Amino acid sequence: MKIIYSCYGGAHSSIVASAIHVGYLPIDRVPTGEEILNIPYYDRSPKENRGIPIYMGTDTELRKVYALGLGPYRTEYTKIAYNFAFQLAGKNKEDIRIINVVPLLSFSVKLGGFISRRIGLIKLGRPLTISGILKRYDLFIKLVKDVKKGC
Amino acid sequence: MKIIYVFNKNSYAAIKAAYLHLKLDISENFKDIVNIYNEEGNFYYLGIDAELNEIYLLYSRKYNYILKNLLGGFSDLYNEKTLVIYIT
Repeated sequence: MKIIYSCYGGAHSSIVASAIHVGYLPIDRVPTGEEILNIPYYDRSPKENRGIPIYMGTDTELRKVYALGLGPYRTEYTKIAYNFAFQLAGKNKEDIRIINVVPLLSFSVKLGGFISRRIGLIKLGRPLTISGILKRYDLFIKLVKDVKKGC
Repeated sequence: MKIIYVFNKNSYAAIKAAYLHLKLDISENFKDIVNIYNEEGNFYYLGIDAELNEIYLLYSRKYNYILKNLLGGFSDLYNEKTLVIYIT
């Protein structure tokens, strides 16, 4: 089975959620900013790579976990992704889950992501994204726990 | 391999291209056929060509590089080869 966490740019929230899922980040406490910075791909995915699932690892149930940026047409592309997976997987609909992480985004993550990824001011934007993630980290934990239970 | 004809506006050209690919007759009531393929985001399977490629039609108003990446990325996830042909 494949579990895909999706967000806008595929650089912050989907990376954090998938990192919690596979164990790069703790699920029982709030991590430090440094721990978040050390996750693979955090605040590093270029805009041109949106739409390409980023493999983050395999969880304890042997499910493959990915992060995915879908840009501004997330609703339309999520439908297309499901339909395409349906064709590719030989009608095995249970093979894939796409989890929308965007509702967990705070304003500071959006602003920091814009400053870091779009404008290129990484030193200014990256700390903003981290503080925004940390503020809502409990919600990320809850989401991942729910996904693990439900899949 | 899967060959996907993607269109956002010009359904006539995309459907005609896909039908020609499959060497299918374009019937007299082509206008009615066009209306069959109008659900956005749905993959319409049309058949298999002479090289055993599966031919699909996809209507998406929001075609950009992300959709192209998405189709290519998902093909890789399932180890399938895909060719996307975008008809404007």
